[in-house]
Amino acid sequence: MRMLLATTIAAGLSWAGAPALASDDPFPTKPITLSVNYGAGGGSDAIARALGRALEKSLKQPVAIENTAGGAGTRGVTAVVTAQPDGYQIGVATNSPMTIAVHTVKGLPWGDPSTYDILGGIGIVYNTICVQADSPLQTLDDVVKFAKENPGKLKVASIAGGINQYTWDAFAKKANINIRFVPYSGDAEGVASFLGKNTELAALTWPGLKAQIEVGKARPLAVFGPRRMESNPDVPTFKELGYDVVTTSDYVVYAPKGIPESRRVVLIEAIKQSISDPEFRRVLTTQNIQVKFTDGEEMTRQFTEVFRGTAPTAQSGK
Amino acid sequence: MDLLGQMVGGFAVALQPVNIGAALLGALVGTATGVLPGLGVLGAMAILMPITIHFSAVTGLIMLAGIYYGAMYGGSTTAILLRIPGEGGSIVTTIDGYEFARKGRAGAALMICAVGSFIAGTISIVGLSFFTTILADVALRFSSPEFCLLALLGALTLVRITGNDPAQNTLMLLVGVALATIGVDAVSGDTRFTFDTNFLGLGFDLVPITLGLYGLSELFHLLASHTGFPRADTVRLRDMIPTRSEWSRAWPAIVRGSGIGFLIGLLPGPGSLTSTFASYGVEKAIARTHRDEFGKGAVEGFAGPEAANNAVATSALVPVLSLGIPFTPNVALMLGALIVQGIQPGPLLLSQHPDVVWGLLASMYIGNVALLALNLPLVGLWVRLLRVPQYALIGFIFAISFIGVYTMRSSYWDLCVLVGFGAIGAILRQIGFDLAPLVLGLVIGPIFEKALRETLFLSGGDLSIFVTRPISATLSALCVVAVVGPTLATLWRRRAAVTKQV
Amino acid sequence: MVEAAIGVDVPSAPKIVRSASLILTALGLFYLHQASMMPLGDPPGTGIGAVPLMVGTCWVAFGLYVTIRNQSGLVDSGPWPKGRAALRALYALLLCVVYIVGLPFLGIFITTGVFLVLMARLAGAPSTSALVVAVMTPIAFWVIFSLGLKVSLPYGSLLAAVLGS
Repeated sequence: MRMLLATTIAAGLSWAGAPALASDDPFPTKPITLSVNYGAGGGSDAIARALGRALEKSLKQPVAIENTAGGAGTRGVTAVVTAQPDGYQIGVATNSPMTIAVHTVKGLPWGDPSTYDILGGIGIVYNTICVQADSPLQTLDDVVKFAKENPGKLKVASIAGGINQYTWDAFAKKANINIRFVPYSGDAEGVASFLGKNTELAALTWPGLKAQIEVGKARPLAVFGPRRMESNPDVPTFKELGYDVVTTSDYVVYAPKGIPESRRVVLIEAIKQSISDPEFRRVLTTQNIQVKFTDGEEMTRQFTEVFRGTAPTAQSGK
Repeated sequence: MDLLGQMVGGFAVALQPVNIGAALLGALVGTATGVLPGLGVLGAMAILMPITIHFSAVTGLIMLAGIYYGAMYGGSTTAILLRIPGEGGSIVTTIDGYEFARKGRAGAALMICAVGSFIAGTISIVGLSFFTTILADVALRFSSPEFCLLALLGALTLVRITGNDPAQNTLMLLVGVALATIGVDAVSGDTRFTFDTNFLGLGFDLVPITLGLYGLSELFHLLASHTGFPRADTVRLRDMIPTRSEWSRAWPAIVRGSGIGFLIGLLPGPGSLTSTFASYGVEKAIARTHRDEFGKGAVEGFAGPEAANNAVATSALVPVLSLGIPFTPNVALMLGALIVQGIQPGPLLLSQHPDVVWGLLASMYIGNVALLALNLPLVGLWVRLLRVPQYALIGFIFAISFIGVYTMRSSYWDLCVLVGFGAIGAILRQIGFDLAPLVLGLVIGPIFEKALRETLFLSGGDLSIFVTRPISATLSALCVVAVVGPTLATLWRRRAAVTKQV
Repeated sequence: MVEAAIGVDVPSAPKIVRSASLILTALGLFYLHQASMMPLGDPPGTGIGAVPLMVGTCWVAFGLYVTIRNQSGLVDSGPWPKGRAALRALYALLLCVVYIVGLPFLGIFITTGVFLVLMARLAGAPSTSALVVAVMTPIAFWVIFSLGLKVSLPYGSLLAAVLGS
């Protein structure tokens, strides 16, 4: 707490011309609302609740969770972005609604990542492509070769509209292959269809496929991450194999644009402390999410890249 | 044995204090809603569903299941005492149960129902434990084409079974399906029918609609009627022991009713009501010495149906646990409870969330014992619940509905949907439209649409996928039978009637 | 039962079913019109407009059938509420609307309290009992939802303005 205060004061002083010094502007003095863009009970909700508990420890104020579901996850973002930029309303979300669904949902009062303020990334989810365990196709090159010889014959189970489809499209374009894209509405359904041998391939999240990979029902060909996973170092990345497609699903904490810098520093410091909170880490690791703090500027850069990449082509199914 | 091991694991989950509490609370609430004539089990489940999301998935499900089978217990009480069915499954009980009670044997009738429900529950839970494992193994053969056809088959069967008019029911079902398409499309993420408004973009959620149609419309109806909640006399405890001859007539009927109920519960359609009619029909048909007693207080006439509707409450969980397909609105709500928890019910539920399934099964054993324990001594108290002032009850239900729906996703739009459908439900009910198909359409519609589109993506637009896969082909044939069969039967009956007249 | 006999000006069941189906059919036509403007997708049937088009067509077809067919054997829907009883239901509906309108300003506890007083009075409660219910229920909600379940409830702009300044 003492250290936190010191940081606050330092931040307040360093902010030239700041209207209020930290001592004049104690923050937070009342409960903070943490908005989550999906309904209670889901994966995002569990992460938000865990984050809320961790933030309470460092902010010394209650953190209420507000579930603002709907609009393919965009409604929760709207609730945060349009709130008073006083630091008392922040949100947690993934890049799918903020960079992809934003193009398809109409009438949003926000747009590209410069219209909100990402405080930092808190967790990373890798995406992967798997084949049936008994498939004769051993490597990614085998798949690409087979697909080129038999266009439209292979099928891939994936998730519609989100980062998975974006990633798959980018890969298919780079490899110049025609594989039938079968979109499901979530990991579980995609996995079920894949296990029922309806599709030869699955392009889903690593957490979604992990259990099947472990029991030997799915064989990972590669991951879309920037580097190999520590837990599975034998699975190559797409970049290594010559397809420069690097995407991840990221959980970020964000706020409306224009929070006083002194308060912003307090919040970021609290988020950093939460990242090392063992209870918070456990909730994320049970969902196979890599816990890692990523700088807000770096996240904004990544988000902007995906936002631009999806802008013209995101109108799927039309 | 594996099954035994999993069952033990299930009991370990169910015996956690919070889950015992949830089972007891659910059973208590369920029995209460069953006892109170104005309140349906669906309404109670809808009211409590937003609350369950604040607990773990298994706890929420245990509570909802508790309400579900608790209401089957409680529903018979008012049917017997006041000739008012607490819920649909108790309509048959009003015939012989009430007559039996008029002979001064009200307590005995209630006890036979309670014990019969307990026996039926136990029989079908054993069946459920057994069949769910088997079905889970074949479940992976069911994919999008099969789900699509199952949803279609469920819709086609249900419109014939409830209410009085299949055409009206189909219309309501289609309206339900259409309502579900408004908002963000689950497959592509695009918005539909929103006219660029934010509130339509949110769509029509199942809970506010169900709560409006069944809960609020009931209250509006109550406020507009002159009678209000009826009042009841207490039951003396010493009247509660059935005689030996009553027992010896009741138990075979209970066992038969359990069997009938279990099988009907596996099928699409609102099993609770149909099973009671089926059981009543069977008992009446096979009765030898007491046939003339039916309609005048035959023990078999309420023991069998009461057992049947309890067995249905349990076996209706088989399709939802193993296939993710809800065949009744009640089970649909439980499915919804799983979905809001982020758990996708479906073929993989048992393998992905065995703790949820086995915990639920184990809790049902416990809940059944709890229900018996609650119901035997507390009959008198349940009757006194009817004496809670009406004004307090009505206001409380309104308020808990508002707060429950609002907290679901912090939306004023959902409150508008709740009240709007409360009014619409009251009017439709007054006109004579059955509301169940609308709710079913809301639930089955998205399942059907998603499965259809996934199937077409899978086959590249080729419809023959529906007949080339063996299970799909069977289901397609069943769908044809469901459409053509009843029509032929009606024509046949008409022809027979005409011939008779001539 | 006696009232049913008196109810002369009550519209007969088939007629009202017909009017209701007609309204539903009109809505269905509108829905179908909107659906027909949406893409069918590639392969056909996979787009956002395919199922709405199917549903809309069936909706209109069944709506027309229920509207124009010769109705027989329909269960009588019973007498419509009249006079004070009907007014009570309308008043209850109005209270619900007022609740939703008042919620953003007055917050959940005040709104619920006021709603409960009025609703209890409407249902025929003595004033004191109505007040007891109206005070106790919001407190119970506060304990359960705010303290117990830690749900973020709307406290209302009025309360926020009073406490926040």
